[in-house]
Amino acid sequence: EELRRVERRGTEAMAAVLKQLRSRRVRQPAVAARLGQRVLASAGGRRGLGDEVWTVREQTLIAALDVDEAALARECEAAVVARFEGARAKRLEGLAAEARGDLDAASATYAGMLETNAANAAALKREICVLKAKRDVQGAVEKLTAYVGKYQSDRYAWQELAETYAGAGLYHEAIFCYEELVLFEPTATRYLCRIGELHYTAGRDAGLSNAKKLDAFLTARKYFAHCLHLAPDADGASRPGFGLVLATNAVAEYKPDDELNLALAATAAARLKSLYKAKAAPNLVTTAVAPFVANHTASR
Amino acid sequence: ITIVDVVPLFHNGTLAPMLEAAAYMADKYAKAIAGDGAAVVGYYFANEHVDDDAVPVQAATIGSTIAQALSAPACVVKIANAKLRDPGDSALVAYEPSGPVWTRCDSPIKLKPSAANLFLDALDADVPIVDFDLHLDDVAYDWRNPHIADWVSEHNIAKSPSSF
Repeated sequence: EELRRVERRGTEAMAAVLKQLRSRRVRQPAVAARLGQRVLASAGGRRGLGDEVWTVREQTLIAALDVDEAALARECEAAVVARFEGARAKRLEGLAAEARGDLDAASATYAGMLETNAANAAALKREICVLKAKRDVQGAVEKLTAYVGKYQSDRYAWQELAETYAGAGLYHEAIFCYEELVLFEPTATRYLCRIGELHYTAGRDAGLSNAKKLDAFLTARKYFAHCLHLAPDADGASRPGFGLVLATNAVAEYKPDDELNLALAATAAARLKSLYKAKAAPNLVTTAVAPFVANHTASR
Repeated sequence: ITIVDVVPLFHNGTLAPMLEAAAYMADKYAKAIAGDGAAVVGYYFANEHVDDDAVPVQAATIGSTIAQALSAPACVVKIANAKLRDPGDSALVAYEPSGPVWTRCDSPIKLKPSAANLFLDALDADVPIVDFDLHLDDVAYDWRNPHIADWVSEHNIAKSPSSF
């Protein structure tokens, strides 16, 4: 209904919403496609945009690809390609080809872009996406690794590489990538927590020696504890909270009376309880969280 | 196997700690709503690629762990991406264990149509679905999704348990 109200106010209002989506980098493809289509379909709308009409065409194209509005996408692509030849337009051509499933055409487009400029980050990244679409995990990892070698401060790329490794069960490689991210943002608990989760997951490998398992759980414990130390009251503290309960519980199997472990376990339990009591439905605590903590408590 | 509820877990890559926490709490929840005989009986998944029909290693491992813990029949359910195009198809494919491998069930999943329809009505009305990832980001979001049941009763649609 909100959307219909905007539409009724005319193309200027719609264009303003589109601009907001762009500046806030919010991905709402259904909205963008619908508003974009209406603004571009109206001569007055197009006039009102001035030079911005091309940015809106780009935005509408990408949104149309997201929501599978093939006709709208083709229209926008045709207009852009007729007018522009540079890398930005080529990238859109490639995206459209990928969406159609024509991966060979997409690859050819990106190869062409790289011939002109071997460092074009957009083309390099789309090549990786094409490999992912072909389910060539090995190839994607190789190209991602090469990419982060060139663009060492591209955090999304490092995270993409990390999660690709994690998805393939290569936890230590994933940890390496997240450690690079921690170098950029030493207090980012989302990275620190993920490293904790990866260490814990690695420790769950049945084939490991007890010493290696303990080491993994101790490292996980350290990362989870650090997250809670950095941001004890944050909304996202539940993750390290659960992590620390589980890590201390795992460590307790090897070191049942370790004072530090017991103290950390108590801290984790207390953090979880206070977070849940403050924000969550009360019966969620009694039904699920309290039993979880009780059952995984390191004090034996 | 009769499934009366599902708990959506993660959309950002599954790792052991949150999975263990979620599985334990989902099991407690199951007993709370359906009695002590209820339990987590399976795991559902959807693959990233539309044409990927395989049961991923992770899903097989999780399914086997559940089966072991249950010492009772368990299942793994795949959301068959390609079938999602057909609104009449539930797109759900069940797998049963034969040793360490999961094989397709001969008998198809029976979905109570009323269950699917009332859920779709809620979705159309923009009622959000909360999964465990969202819950962990902000525990005010409830992974049991009681707000969906609330919406359904508010709109006076007859509630019936979904049976597979």
